[in-house]
Amino acid sequence: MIFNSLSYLLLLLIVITLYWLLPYRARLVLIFSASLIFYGFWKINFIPVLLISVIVDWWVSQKMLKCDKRNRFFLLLGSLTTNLSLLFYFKYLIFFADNSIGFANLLGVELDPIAFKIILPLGISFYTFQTISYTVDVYRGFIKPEKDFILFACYVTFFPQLVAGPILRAKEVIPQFTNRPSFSFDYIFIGIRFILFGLFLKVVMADNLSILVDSGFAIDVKYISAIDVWTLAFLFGFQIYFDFSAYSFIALGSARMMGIIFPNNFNFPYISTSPKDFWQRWHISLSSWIRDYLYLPLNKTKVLDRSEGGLAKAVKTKGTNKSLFITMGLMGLWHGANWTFLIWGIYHAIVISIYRLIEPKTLNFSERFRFLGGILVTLPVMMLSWIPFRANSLNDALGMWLKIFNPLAYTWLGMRENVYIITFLVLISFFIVYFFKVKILPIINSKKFISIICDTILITFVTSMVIVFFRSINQFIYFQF
Amino acid sequence: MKNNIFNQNRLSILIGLLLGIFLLDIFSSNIDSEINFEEFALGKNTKTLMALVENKKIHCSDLKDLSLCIEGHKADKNNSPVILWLGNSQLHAINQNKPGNETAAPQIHRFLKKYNFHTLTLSQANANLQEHYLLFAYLLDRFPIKTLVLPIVFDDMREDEIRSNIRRVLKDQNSLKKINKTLTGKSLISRFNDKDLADNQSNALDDTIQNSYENSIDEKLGKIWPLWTKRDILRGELFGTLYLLRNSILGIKATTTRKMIKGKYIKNRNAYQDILNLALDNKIEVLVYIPPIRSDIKIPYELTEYNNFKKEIKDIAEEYKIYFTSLENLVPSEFWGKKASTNLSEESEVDFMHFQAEGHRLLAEAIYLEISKILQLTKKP
Repeated sequence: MIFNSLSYLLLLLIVITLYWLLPYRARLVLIFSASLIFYGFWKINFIPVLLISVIVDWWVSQKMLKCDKRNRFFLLLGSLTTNLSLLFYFKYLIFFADNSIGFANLLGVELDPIAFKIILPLGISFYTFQTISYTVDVYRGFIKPEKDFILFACYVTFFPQLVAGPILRAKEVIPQFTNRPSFSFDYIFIGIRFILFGLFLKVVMADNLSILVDSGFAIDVKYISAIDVWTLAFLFGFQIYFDFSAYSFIALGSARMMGIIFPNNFNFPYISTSPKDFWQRWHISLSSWIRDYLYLPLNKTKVLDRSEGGLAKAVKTKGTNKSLFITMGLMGLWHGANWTFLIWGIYHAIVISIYRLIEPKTLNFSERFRFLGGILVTLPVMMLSWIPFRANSLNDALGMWLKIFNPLAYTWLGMRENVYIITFLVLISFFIVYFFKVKILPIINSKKFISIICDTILITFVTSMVIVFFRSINQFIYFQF
Repeated sequence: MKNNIFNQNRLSILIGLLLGIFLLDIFSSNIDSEINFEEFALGKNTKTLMALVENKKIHCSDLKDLSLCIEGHKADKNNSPVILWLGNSQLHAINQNKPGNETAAPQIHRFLKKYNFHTLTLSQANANLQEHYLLFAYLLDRFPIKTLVLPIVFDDMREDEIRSNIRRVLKDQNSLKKINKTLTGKSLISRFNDKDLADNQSNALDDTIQNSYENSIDEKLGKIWPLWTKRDILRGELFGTLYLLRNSILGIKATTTRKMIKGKYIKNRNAYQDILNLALDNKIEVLVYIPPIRSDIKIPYELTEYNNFKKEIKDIAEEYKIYFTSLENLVPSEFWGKKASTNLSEESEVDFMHFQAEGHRLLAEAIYLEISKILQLTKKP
């Protein structure tokens, strides 16, 4: 089920109503059943894959409770093997097979391409990481294994965050299921606000930008200019930001309506003053996961054990470049089985390595200069990373990147005039909204009456736009990861 | 203090939600739910006419209304060979229309009917050649096509969107077989169909429980809440206003020079060649023409680009040994007209694309003349 659909809003209405009425046990059954319905609405035959992951990790965690350290390690290996095998089969097998055959052909061994089709189960990358984090945390002794299977299943399958995160830790969610706060309309209204803004970002912003982005990336690289490459990088950067943050907003809002609080997954990432800053503002729950379960262990450094903070600590840590490149490369591949995603990860690793070298030399500059200069440098650097992320092939991505170094490629335009105008307007609007939030909003909020008027105007506008544009035509981009 | 903020929250959300719905309801109640966006875009001076001959549809838009044209052809009991005319709004719009006027399509249809040919016209506003290619591939299985008439419009070489009612061709297996080896076909399949292919099926909504359930709720909601069904129109109105606003701010008018967009131009040129290949493979004769354009004032193109375009289209036609003619100067200035303003001012603007009924008569005669050469017909219209 997708969030920008009437079926989801109907399901949510039913679940929220029952959630506040039912006793504890029935509530858990409600969440688990609603989550399976939510998942099955896409393709019912992938529910068993999800359940295998849930059952294996619950069983492994129970066994760990009674084992010595050595056997616990083998149980952990068993869980990792099961989860990663499922992920490998569904997500990476075709990529691996295609590349192996290609490599063999390169060596002179003639092999025919294998023609088999594997459909990627929705959200498998997200729930696999969530279950892995649980088992690793039990192994590390950070949490006690959850005895109640339904409660554990609710943690893994909880529908607001099942298919595209945020990727949360068991200790953040499970206690919120067990200790439901007393009902307050505030939960409902705050949830509605989150959902409204999420839907606005998705159906009004992201879906309309996607038409321009798809059309732009469909042009043969030979015929696009360097200005087009920059424009498409910025345009897709905003599309994916609106799309994914929209999903996170709706997830946060849906959970909040049940009194469950999720941490923020995005925080104005394009206002970042450095790569370090970017990685504590972008997809925070994934970068925090990568930090705690990959980067810091590779560096043998103490983990933070929370889904907040992002990769900032990892960026600043004087870890080896090897672990940085492994981490970012794997994070790239997590997004999809394609060399373009690997390139995206490696690009970020290179940017962070350069940042580590430059950062000490900027400490003498004034705060204001560091802030403005930081944004001016970081924004285009981060936006350029989206080129391989969105490009149709590795060749296209490299071709587009090369264009920006060719002065002659700046002398013409290869897209409709509207694309440049809209990109410019979105960029300007983004900074205006940020300025408004940071500088104007506190002043408005200090005056109660004006605050209500402004907020009402905003909600009126957002509501009417959402109604006009509400269509379940496009999935969220992160559903395919 | 905390409670206070929450109370403000509740108040503004409640009022905002209700006000948003209320204002939309008021605004949409003044909107004609039968509004035709094509007419809206053309302005009040220009009228769309999708012709009927003897109460049978012979001029359609795309897959949306094609079944009516198929019925029209079936009514010809002897399965007449089809003269297929694909084009843009020039074929279905009449400037300064008066009662009784008709476009070129029914006139040609009647001329050729005498020789037992069934002329079928399909046209869409700003139609590009990639769309024509898809439609042509789709129609090959549905009609016994004898001749294809294809205007190549410079303006439309800037377009490469495929409207949803033509994109549906990409779901038709027989059509896919015809196009999947060509440059245009591969590009369109990877752009629009790959979302539904196996490597990315998680992103596809077709054939999911979600899709069927969603359609049913959508339909029910539309029955109880009229605003829901008018949202298409509201979106169109909003985009229309933004378009006028953009033109006003940037000083864009109908006469503003439009530059060629190389990437899109090449795609459409490839589609032109793919259409010719498909036609020749199926032993269909082709007549390509450069359509009439208003020539008493400066055309809104860069002259070098426009001249190169005409030369290239002609050269390709010669290379493929198909019939080519330029009808650029066919319609004299008195048979052209003005169109509604393309910005927020009330001032009418020059219409370079759509001529009056007399222009359609001249076009019908010119096309008939060319077709009669191809089909070796003897009588004059």
